[in-house]
Amino acid sequence: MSRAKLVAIAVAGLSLAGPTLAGESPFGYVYTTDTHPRGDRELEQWLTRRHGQSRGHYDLWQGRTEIEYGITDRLQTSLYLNYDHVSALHNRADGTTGPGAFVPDAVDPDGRYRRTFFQSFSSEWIYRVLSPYKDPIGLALYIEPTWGPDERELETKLILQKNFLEDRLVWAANLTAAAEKERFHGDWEREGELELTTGVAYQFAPRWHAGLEYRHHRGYEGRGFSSGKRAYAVNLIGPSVHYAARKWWLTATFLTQIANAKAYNDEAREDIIGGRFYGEHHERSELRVKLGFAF
Amino acid sequence: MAAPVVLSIPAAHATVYLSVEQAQQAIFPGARFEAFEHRGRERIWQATPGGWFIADEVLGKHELITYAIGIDTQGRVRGVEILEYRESHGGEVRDAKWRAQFIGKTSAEPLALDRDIRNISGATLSCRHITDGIKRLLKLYEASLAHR
Repeated sequence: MSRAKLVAIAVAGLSLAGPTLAGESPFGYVYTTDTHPRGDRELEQWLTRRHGQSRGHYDLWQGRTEIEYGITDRLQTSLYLNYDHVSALHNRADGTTGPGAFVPDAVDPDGRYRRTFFQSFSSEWIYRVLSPYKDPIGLALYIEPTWGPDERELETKLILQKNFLEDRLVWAANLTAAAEKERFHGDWEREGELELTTGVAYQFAPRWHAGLEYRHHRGYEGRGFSSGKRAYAVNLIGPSVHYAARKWWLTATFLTQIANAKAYNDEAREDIIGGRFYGEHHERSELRVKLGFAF
Repeated sequence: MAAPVVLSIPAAHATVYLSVEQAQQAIFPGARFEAFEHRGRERIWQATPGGWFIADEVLGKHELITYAIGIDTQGRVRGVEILEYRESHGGEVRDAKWRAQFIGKTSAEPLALDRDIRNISGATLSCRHITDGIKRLLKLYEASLAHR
């Protein structure tokens, strides 16, 4: 499937949308405790461009088409489809093409590698325990199993939200723990991830939020999160903007990797160039655009 | 408390339910109204034979909600009306039963969601902001209008 077809699928997904919405986050990466009211349905389309490795050309386009549904006023579920397109040329530190995340071993080291593929299905569940509009702080619990031909993952999040200035200023933070099994170069490998994701967004005009998001991401090898299994730590930061119309909303966030990545084993050390980590699905920058419609 | 800075951008799709005049007559049938000069953003009218009518705006999730309250000569809420509502969700605050909870309230009461004001699930933000707004208008009445 070509990139044009991938975009066509995304556009087709959008064209199914009907009217109105609620419960969206003003952030591209940070989840808030807002959930859909009972019976609300929403279609979301995400497109993330992960751009640039240590040299040459590298683009990973990640698409996600999602349907969300409010089971109760506190419990929300969603089902989504993840699909990708990768394009790489001379992206490795030694000037060759691949291998790496989504680029297999046997590619031509001097040729451009392109592939479009289905990655996985995910089922997401969010339960809001405390509301930031009624309680001192908002609190929600998140669990998301993912299944794909080369990937199995269980991701959990603790979501916190505190609003200020009559709810115009939103602060949210997520503590994420994920255990995954990934087929890498033909073998299944166990990995773990811990992440602190946080952001602030200010509603500077009706319908408009501007914000700043930060991610501290740690990767672990094998099962568990002991310090001996820690492989790398990466930091990303960048601005976000959110617009909510009556019938739809749009959020865009641009994150850039800060040149202070840390490696804790020799393999990860090889993937740090110029202070940035380029292994395990990490790039120089990420641009995420999300569109939501109720139907 | 100083109001947070928010740019004023006209809403593309306001739904007007009541004009100021219609809301005034709904709360004080047959009364006459005289505009009262006031420095704040609130619009205030004195009713004859007695009472005050105040129109104001609060932010919903994304848009401003225009609402008004009538206050009788004893400082009690006589009625609440939603004049303009622009949000896609939370329109349940127009429900007459929900608005009726405020009737008789004074500035001395808590006026807090889930205490003396019932919340509407799925419209929490609108309920909270309108409740806070009414509380603020009652304080304004107490400070500036009650002794006139």
